[in-house]
Parts: sequence; structure tokens; C-alpha cells
Amino acid sequence: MSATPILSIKDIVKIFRNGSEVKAIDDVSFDVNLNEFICIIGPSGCGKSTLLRIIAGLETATSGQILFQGQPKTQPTSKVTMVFQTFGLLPWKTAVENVELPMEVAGIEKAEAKARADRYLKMVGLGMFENAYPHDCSGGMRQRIGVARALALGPEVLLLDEPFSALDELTAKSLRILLLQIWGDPALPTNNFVMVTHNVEEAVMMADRIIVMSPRPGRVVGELKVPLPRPRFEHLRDPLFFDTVDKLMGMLSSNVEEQM
Amino acid sequence: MAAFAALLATYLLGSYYIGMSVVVDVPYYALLSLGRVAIVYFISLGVGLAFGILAATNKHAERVLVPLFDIGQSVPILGYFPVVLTFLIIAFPHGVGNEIGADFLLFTAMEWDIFFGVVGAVKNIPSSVEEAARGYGFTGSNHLRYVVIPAVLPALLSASVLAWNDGWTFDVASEFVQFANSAGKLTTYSVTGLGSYIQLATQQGHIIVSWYGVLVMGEIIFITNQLIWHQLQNRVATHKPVLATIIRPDLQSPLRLRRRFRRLFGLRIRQVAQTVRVSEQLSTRALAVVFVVVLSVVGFLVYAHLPIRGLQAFVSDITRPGGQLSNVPLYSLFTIGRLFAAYITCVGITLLCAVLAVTKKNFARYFYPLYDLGRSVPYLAVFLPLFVTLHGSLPTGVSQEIASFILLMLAMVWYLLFNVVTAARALPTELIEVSAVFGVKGWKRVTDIILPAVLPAFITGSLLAWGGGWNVVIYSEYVQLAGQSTPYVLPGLGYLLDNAAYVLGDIPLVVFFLFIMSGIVILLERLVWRRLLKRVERFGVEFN
Repeated sequence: MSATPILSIKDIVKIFRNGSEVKAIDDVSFDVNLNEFICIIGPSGCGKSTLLRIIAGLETATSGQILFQGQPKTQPTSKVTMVFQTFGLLPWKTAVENVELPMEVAGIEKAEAKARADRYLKMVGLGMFENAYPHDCSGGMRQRIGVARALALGPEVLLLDEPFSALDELTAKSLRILLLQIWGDPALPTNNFVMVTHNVEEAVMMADRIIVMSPRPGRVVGELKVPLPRPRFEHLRDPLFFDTVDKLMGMLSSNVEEQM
Repeated sequence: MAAFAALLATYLLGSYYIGMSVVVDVPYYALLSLGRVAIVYFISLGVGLAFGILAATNKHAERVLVPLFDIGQSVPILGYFPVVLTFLIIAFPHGVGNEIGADFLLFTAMEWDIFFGVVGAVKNIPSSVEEAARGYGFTGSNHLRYVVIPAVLPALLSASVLAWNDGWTFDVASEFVQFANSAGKLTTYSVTGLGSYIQLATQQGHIIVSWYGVLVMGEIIFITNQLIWHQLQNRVATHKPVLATIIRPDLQSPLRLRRRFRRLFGLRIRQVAQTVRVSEQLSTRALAVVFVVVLSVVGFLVYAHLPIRGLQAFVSDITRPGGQLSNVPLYSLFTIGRLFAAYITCVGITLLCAVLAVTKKNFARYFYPLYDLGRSVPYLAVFLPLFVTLHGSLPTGVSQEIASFILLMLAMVWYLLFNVVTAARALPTELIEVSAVFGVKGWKRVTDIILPAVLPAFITGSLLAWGGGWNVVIYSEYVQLAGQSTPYVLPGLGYLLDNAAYVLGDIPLVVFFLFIMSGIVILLERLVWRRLLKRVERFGVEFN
């Protein structure tokens, strides 16, 4: 564990005012340490996606702050990028154009942007499909484009908002393995992942540490260090994997019972 | 209550400033026009429902009805109105023909929206609903009553709003037709109503009175929209079990306002897509048949006409400079140019509004009420008073061009604005988030996110705007005022058409011009707009 966390979530409160006040997130704090894979898990309505959007700078917190490398962060930056649940691709741009756009905006030279886009599309397995439009691609291919786009900027932190929930299980499985490889690859600059999910097995398979949240208002009700060794897909049949899943399930459901 | 107070205030102010004797009959005229528009609306509704459901549920009927209504929609109403009116007045003397003519024009202004709205709605019933209905043994009248009618209702209401507004817009054209023949003899066909009141006042030079009439008409349109259609739409939306997945229950009024527009917008997109799809399927056979029929009618008329004028005269007319036929190519370009100038201006306004709709949070709060207000302006009624008013201080040609430009703008801009702004507002939040996360800002955001996102809506709006524009451009190119032996004209197809109908009384020539005009309309639509729409459709974002 490193001394300064790459990302600190400090006392975040989010209240939506829409006629009446709804407290979506209530005093959430945790750190993301260097090279850590964090999953935020919780039932729908626990504010996990809102929290991710506050970290990304898409929403502003009612109170509290996000520290990125020790500095307060309120705006989106190219150092923290995001993969979206339904991909967020521009339908009128090809795969390579979708990946290039953020780099163009960030002022990266055209030739360099093209080279990087090529490299990252190859890395996610879409070397042949650079000029395909999103509507010609399957869901899995679209999310691969989304991953390549988010990584091409070379961010320090990658935020993932339920990146597999719009995909079928087989596709999701191969994308999970791809993301774990990317995260573990020391040659790539992006080694800090924060992923939102509601899939228990997925969280245990991928995360170093799991933040468990409860709904209405969203609160952190527990934290779980996953004791499973990596590479994880070699240990998916270990009793330890199932024990961890059960433990996490218990943390989630005990919390639901409290609500009832 | 506020509505009636406004009407009463208008009436009292009118009688005070203009004179009691002039405005005393205005409520009577207004009621007559209201009755006329309402009755023709109900006829259009019946026809649209019956034929729409038939076309949507029966393959054979679809093959005949959809191209037929599509052609009817493509041919500019005001282009063939003179022919129909002349025929009706000969066939039904004693003023009956005038009334039927007026009703016919209103019918053609209202029918297409309703028909295609119904066809689209029936075809869009989710297949799961249809399967469930079949599974539980709903057939015949049960199926109609519990599935088809409830499914059609929201689309029917949306189409009704459009039809109602179009009907009122054409009211002024339907109630009053005036022309002078080649000998300079003035003929007036009119039926009593608010439209002919406006026209007559303009003809007699009481320009304040005609503006007053326009105001009253605008108020009636606005009030009926608010009191009838918007209320009905809100009510229908609240209990719609069949389409619960499409229309969510209403929550708050601003939301409701937006949803109403969104629904109307969805209908338009679907309606156009539907027509495109259906006519693509049918283009090879059915359309060929229709074109052959039209061609043979034209051929026959020209042939029947030839012995009278002689082949040589016909040919020499084509080649002679200044002849009716030799003008066709150039005059067509003039008319297209007129439409294009207005269209380009509308595009500028629309794109500005689209950008504002995405970037400014409270844009909708100002836009939709203004849209409601603007859409209530009966633009055809505005044209003549505007022309006469401008004519006071400007040269004839200039004032007529300006009045024509404004008329075309008012006829075209709403289709574009409505479609594009609603699309811009329906932009999926994920795309907005993507542009925020990756720092896509300013001009880049306009060119790379907003414009491509609204492109399909933009093309749909353009298609509809040009259709609407063709309908009224004819009206602006030919103005016959009382006390003038010759009409005020702008060089264009509309002028050629009206001149052939009224001054020359040459029916084959009218049919020929009409054929050319419809040909241009259909060609532009098929070769430009529908082709573009097909190309961009797959790049479209998903609207819910």
C-alpha cells in the first residue's frame, strides 16, 4: 500500500433538489491506492453511479471533495476517463474516429492521435474494424471501442460504470479478462480502476477491494479485501472464491434486511 | 375564462378603434369559419381513421391507399385548387360549388397528417401486444376496440393538432378566390367566413380591418389549441395501459409539456420513416402504375387539346420566347430559388436554436410557449395584408417578394424548429456526459456532437418544410386585387399555373404545369430528402 492514495473520496454528500429533496449519497469516504482495482457494489438506488459521476466531474457534490493526487478535483480531466454503461459512442463516427476525438480535443497531434488510436484498437482486438461504424458492431465490439477511447488518452484512473451490464454473459466474460490484462500491464500508464457494478461474482473476480453501499440514502456499509490470488481467472473454482462471494452476498443482504 | 376574456377584449377594442359597424359581424364570421374547419376536420378524421386502419391492417389495401395518399400529399393543394373549383362551380351552381370547393381545400389540408398518423400508429403497435391479443383470442371488433383504437389515440391527437392548424391556415385561401380573365373581367368566388372577411377588407383597402381579422383568427387558433388539443393530449396520456412502455405517466406540467412535444415529434419521425419505408417497397410497381395513369391523363388532355390549337401552335409556343411553355424551366428555377432563400434563413434560425437547446438549461421554458404562439399565426392570412401594407412604401415587385419571403418562412420554419429542437433536447445524457468527460467543448461540440445528433430530425424537418413551402409559394406569386385589371405577379411556376387557370382558362395547360410542379416536388423529395434521410438514419441516436 502506497503512502498517498491516487484518489481520495472525502465526505461526499449529494442531495438532489427537484421539488423535494432527495439524499442520494450520505457522507461517503474512501481512498483508492496506487495500482488498486476498486469495485463499488450495491443495489440500484444506492448512488453508486452518481458517486462515479462526481469522481468524473460530471456531477458536483453537495458537500465534500474529491482529491486526485492530493489536489481537489471538480472538473473532468484527461487524467481520469470513463467507460460508459451503454458505451456512449458517437454513432456518426467510425471506431477510429471515436477513439481519436478525445485526443484531438486534448491537443494531441493528428498523426500521433491516429497512431495511438490504431495501437489501442489493436490492443482491444479491433485492429480489423477501425473503419466500422458503431451500428455495424456488436455490443461487445462497441464496448471495446469505448475502452480503447478511454485508454488512448493515457489516464491515471479509469472509471467504469457497469461496463458489462448491457452485454451478454459470454461477451462480458471475455471483456472482464481483457480489462484485467490491461489493468495488470505495467507497460500501460493506466493502473488504477474504479468500477461500479451490481454483480457480486464480477466484483470478486476483478477487485482488490470492494466498497459495499446501501440504498436511500447511499452509504458505505462495508469494505471487503478480496484475498484471492491473481491471475483471478485461474482461481474461479477455488473454495476461497465462493467463500468470498458468499461473504459479500452476506454483507449486501444483511443490509437489505435492515432496510426491511 | 382567460381565453374568452381575450376574445371579448379584442372584440371591444376593435369596435372602439375600428368602428362598431365594421366588426359587429366578426363573431358570426368567426363562428362560420370555426364550424367549417370543425366539420371538415371530423370528415377528415373519419376518412383518415377508416382508410388508415384499413391500410395498416390489410396488405392489398395498403398497396393501393398508401401511394394514393402519398401522391395526394405530394401534389401542392393550391396548385390544383383552381381546376377543382372551376369544375365544382360548373357542376354545382347557386353557391353550392363554392362551399364544396372551400371544404375540399380544407380537407386536403388536413387529411394527410391524420391518415399517415393512423397508419404509423397501427403499424407501431408492439408485436408483443399484438401477440398477446392474438393469444387471448382478441379478434375483429374486440381487437379494434381494445388494441387498435387505444394505440391510435395518441398519434391521432398529435396529427389532429397539425391538421387543425393547417386547416385554419388554409381557411383564408379556401373562402376567397378572385381573378380577372384575359378581358380584365373580375370574378370572385367566396363563401362567408373569417377568411373571406380578411380578404375582402384587404381588397377594399381597409388594411387595419384585415390585420384585425388576422389577429382574431390567430387568437382562435391559439385558444382552440390550448383548450381542446392540449387538454385532450394530457388526458389521453394519463391512462394508456397498452402503450405504458412508450408513454410514462405524467408527473409535472413542465415535464408534461415536453413530453407532449416529444410525442408529436416521435410521430413525425415515425410517420416519415413509415412513408419512406412503405413507398420504398411499393416504388417499383404501384408508383409506376400511378405515374403511368397520370401520364396518360396528361397525354390524353394534350391530345384532346391539339386539334383545337394545332400541333404547330403547341410547338411554337414551346419555342417562342415569352410563350407560356418556354418560361417553364426558368420560372421553375425562380420558384425553387424563392423557396431556397426562405429555407436557408430557416436553417440558420433552427441551428442556432438547436445549439441553444443543448447548451442553455431553461431554453425549453421559453421555446415551447413561443412555438405555440408562432404556430398559431395563420400565415396565408397574413400574406395579403402584409403585401398591401408593404406596397404603400415599397415598389410592387420588392414588396411582393418580401411578403412572399415572410410567408414562406412562416410556412417552413416550424417544421424545422420543432423537429430539430426536440431532437436536440432528447439527446441522450450519455452523449452529453461523453463530451464532458473528454472535454469536447465549444465549436467542436457543435460540429461533432450536436449537429450530427440532430441531422436525421433536421432532414425530416426539411422534407416537411419543403412540402409545406411548395403549397404556399403558389399563393404568393399571383395576387389579384379589386380595382386592378391585371394581377400582381412574381415570375414563377405558381404564376404560370394561376395564369393558365384564371386568365387563359386553359385546363390542359394547367394540368401540364401541375404535372411539372408535382414532378419537381416528388423528385426533390425522393432524390434529395428521402435519400439523405435513409443515409443518416443508421447514424441516428436512439430516442425514447
